[in-house]
Amino acid sequence: MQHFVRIALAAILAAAVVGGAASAANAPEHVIKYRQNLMKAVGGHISNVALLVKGQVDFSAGLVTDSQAIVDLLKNAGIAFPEGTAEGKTKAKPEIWQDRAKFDAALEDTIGKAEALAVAAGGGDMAAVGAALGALGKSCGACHKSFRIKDE
Amino acid sequence: MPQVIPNQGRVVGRITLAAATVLAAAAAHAGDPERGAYLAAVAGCASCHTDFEHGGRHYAGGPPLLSDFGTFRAPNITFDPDHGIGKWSEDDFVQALKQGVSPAGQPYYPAFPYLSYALMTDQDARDLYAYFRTVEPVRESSPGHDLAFPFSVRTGLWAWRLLYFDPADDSLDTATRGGYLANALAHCGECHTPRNRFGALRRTKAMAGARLGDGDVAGNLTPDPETGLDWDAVDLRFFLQTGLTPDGDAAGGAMALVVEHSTGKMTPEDLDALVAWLQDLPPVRNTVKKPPSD
Ligand code: HEC
Ligand code: HEC
Ligand code: HEC
Repeated sequence: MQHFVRIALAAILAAAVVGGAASAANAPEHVIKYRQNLMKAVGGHISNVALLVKGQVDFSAGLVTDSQAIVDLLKNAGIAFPEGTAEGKTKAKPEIWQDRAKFDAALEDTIGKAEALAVAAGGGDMAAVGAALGALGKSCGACHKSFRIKDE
Repeated sequence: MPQVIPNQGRVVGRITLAAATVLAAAAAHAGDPERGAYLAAVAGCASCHTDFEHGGRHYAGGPPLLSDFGTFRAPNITFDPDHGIGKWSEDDFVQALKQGVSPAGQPYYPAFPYLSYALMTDQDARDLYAYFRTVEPVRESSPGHDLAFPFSVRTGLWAWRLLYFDPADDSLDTATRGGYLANALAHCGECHTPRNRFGALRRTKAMAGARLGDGDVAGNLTPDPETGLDWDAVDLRFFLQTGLTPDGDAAGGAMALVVEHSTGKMTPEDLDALVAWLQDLPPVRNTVKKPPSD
């Protein structure tokens, strides 16, 4: 009996947790956290590719992995900027939601440049990788220029 | 050779010298549009005079430039006779760029960085003129400035110039290529040097970081160990080419435009000179404050 009660209780609790999670998912502060983590992760992989391009490390085995990760992460970036997440601990500019088409186009452009980097990485010619990385960096900057607040 | 037949040598020497002078004078007059195109890129003319974000035509007028005094709009500088500067002579152009005075004798606002361009050589200014003559003329006027009183009164600028514009001032390095690039052409200090409350640059804190009119912060570029930039030459060079920091962050704000249109287009030699010059800056301790609203 006691055993049964414990199982039932566990089931109720589990339901409560899952149900709770469903209703609380995508709270603005968590969405903001998610996209900032995503951007930081992109930054980490970019930094690694840059270390190689600059000749500061020579672990070329990681080049393709890092480059592909940038593409994959950026493809998840769009969903991390839903309506209602302009306020809070975020550097996202309200313009994202005033001109969504332009924001999406900026993201598409960056994804294209990241794919070009991944292709160059596969080819292994470091001069081509450097050029592709430069183009990617400028594309990231173009979105930041329009859509990210920079105050420190 | 001259030692063997000294007399003749002297004559030949004099003739050669005279010929060289004539040639140099001719060369100094004919602006070179190709050199001018490179100089226009390095000097960042497009960042202010082209509205890239809204698909504006080249040099037909720029986006709003926010400042503490109001909003400036850099005008159409294509050679359209009615909407641009199509009627300007080379001298008009050089005077505007290096003295900040229009052909009609009106002073320009320092939002047009003529205090930096004043340090440019005449030859570079003439090459720029030659280049702009090749840019496709655009028949459209750009919207004017939107400034608060009393800044909207242009004649007030004469007093400002008296205090803050000294064409004979040679305190900024232009003797080295790096210094010339940073101070005269790419005008890094226009953003990275703090200003006083009248908008004049504080030369004693050159390149030590500043808050811009749009709220962005252009950091301290001097190698001060606490408040400055501790990147090595490779990192700095890479950043100026790509806009990517050593952490993998991508420069935004006005710097994104600088990288895209100016430093990202520099020749390898110019980049090296600029980086070496930056690394040689005397350290200045200066922390840039965040905007008061935060
Ligand atoms: C489509 C627009 C867009 C693109 C493209 C983009 N970013 Fe961002 N990025 C943002 C916005 C907006 C923020 C601020 C997010 C926030 O604070 O909520 C940001 C923040 C960041 C941050 C700071 C994260 C933190 O909170 O610490 C880094 C690092 C970053 N981006 C790197 C990159 C890199 C590298 C690229 C290019 C591969 C890139 N971004 C491409 C819009 C973009
Ligand atoms: C930081 C922004 C900025 C940059 C960079 C800049 N300009 Fe300008 N420019 C302006 C502004 C603002 C004005 C209008 C000034 C005024 O009305 O007093 C202006 C005015 C001018 C004028 C006068 C036009 C007229 O109709 O009277 C010329 C010519 C000019 N700029 C050429 C250039 C050239 C050439 C470069 C590059 C070497 C350049 N500018 C770079 C902001 C800029
Ligand atoms: C029109 C204004 C402007 C001009 C001109 C300009 N910068 Fe910047 N710069 C900025 C801003 C704003 C940032 C911060 C951008 C960011 O962090 O996203 C910055 C960032 C930087 C950084 C990154 C380190 C830091 O402190 O953030 C370096 C290095 C730099 N600039 C160097 C230069 C050099 C060298 C020149 C001249 C060739 C120059 N800048 C010209 C506005 C400018």
